[in-house]
Amino acid sequence: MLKAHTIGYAYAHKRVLDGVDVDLHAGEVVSLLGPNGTGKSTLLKILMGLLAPQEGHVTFEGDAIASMSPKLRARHIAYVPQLHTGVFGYSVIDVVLMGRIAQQGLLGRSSSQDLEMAHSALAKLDITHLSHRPYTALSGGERQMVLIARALAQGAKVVIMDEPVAGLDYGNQLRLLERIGQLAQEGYTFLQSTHYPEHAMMVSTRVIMLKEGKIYANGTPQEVITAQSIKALYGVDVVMHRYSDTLQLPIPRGFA
Amino acid sequence: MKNSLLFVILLLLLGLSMVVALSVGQYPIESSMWIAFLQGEASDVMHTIVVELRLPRILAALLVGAALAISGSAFQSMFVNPLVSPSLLGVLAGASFGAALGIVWEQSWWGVQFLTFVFGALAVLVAMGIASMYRGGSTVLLLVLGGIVSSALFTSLLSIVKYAADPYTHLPSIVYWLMGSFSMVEWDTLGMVALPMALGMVTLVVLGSYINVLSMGDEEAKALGVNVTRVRIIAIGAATLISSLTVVVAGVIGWVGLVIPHIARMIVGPNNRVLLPMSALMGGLYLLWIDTATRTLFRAEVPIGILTALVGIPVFVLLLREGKKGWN
Repeated sequence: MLKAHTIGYAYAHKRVLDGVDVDLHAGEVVSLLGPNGTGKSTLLKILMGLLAPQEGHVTFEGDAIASMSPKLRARHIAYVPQLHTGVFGYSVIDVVLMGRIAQQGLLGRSSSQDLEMAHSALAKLDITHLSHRPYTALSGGERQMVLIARALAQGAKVVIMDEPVAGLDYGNQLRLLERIGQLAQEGYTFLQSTHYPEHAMMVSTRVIMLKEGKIYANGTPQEVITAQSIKALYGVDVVMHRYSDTLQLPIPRGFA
Repeated sequence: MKNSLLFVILLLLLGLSMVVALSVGQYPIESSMWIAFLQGEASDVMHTIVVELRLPRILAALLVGAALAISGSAFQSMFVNPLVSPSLLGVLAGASFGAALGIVWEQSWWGVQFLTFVFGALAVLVAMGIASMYRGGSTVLLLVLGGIVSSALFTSLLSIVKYAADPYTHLPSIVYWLMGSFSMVEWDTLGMVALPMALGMVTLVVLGSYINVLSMGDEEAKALGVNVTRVRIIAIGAATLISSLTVVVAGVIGWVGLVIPHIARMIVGPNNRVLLPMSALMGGLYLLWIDTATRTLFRAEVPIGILTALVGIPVFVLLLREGKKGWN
């Protein structure tokens, strides 16, 4: 679906991406792992069309996203940002309705269909009861659920998330990951950057590792998340603990 | 539903306030005189006072109050900061400089108004030009910095004009103008600014949903499919047009564009589709009351900028204490 071809990008003499290829398929949950400053966020922005790559290009189902209007792009690709509090206390339903702006006319008036999409997105995430609460008064976990609901209301099939669990408590992190897994079963495609190899192992169908702006590894979590790759990415020694064929978790050597 | 009821109540209050404002002043008009007026039997004096003096002044106060409040609300949402006012990008500083220049050059009244508008718009262009010199980084932050530079530039230029102005003729006019007043309003002025001001306000209200999305930050807005640069330029253009025209009509009037958006947001919440029209209505009502006070409270008329500040500052402090409903 979403494909990046030999992407290169540099900020004022610092090269952060070099010949990066990414290919997302429908229903996949892909986790992007890599140390700080390795270009994960830049890559996500390029894939969403928020940043134009200096080399290479991005296509969605064969069409270059650079030549799409912002509205058209938004119908295919949605973005869930890192946890933020927001400044103005819009009601949750208003925040979710913002996802419909790409489908609205010049006047930006919400149709009954827009409202229906917003309500069904809230229902899908079991947060209908939050509809009229101010967004700013919600807990972090609730806010992330609202932003995922907004992405669904947007009608996009690909959802790109920049460290969606950062700042959430342990329970909310797991609930969010579980929800991502369920939505992927329904055909949504997710690409998330994360700092947790454990999460990548639990939720993703594929893991891409970035190191110094290049793809270090790309494959199933079981193939890719190993003691060697974690040492190479983060410079820490871990022991892989095997619980089943699909679940192997890294434990730091000092605690293993 | 609740909001439409509030609109109706405020509109009724507006009608009532206009009748009161038309009636009070140095030449009070009693109900018997109104009856005569409606029957077409009013004295010439009353006709002149009501139709030529008070009515244009009242309409101007409504228009200016609405324009300042709506552009304040739009700016606060667009710049994701509830503490900014329409003067953020330097429009008031530029307009003040233009007015002072016009007074010193002994331009006609039209000339002064023209220079006021031109320099108000120029100051905003300077701010946006400075912001666009630097690529990357936060656009909002760069615009704010551009506005600070532009405001400072035009404030110093204003100081030069004041320093060079004739202290017996020009300087008092400049100082008086900078404190704001509706006493110079005539039908001619009103007729010229009313249409562009109304168009500017309608533009902002129409953009309400887009301004909502901008207030979530540039990246999210782009990802939601909004052409951020285009929406921002149109909205800043509309807000600049109407705020510089307020200076053309009545000089510099502060605090309305900061205080009224806060009160409106506390009452109807932050959704700009409701907040912007509500701000306009409340801003107009507020400035009408204040202007009526300036010409009735004391024997001599007080410049309105002084009263809006004296009323606005304590109200603002109270609002901050009462809690920040509608923003974080």
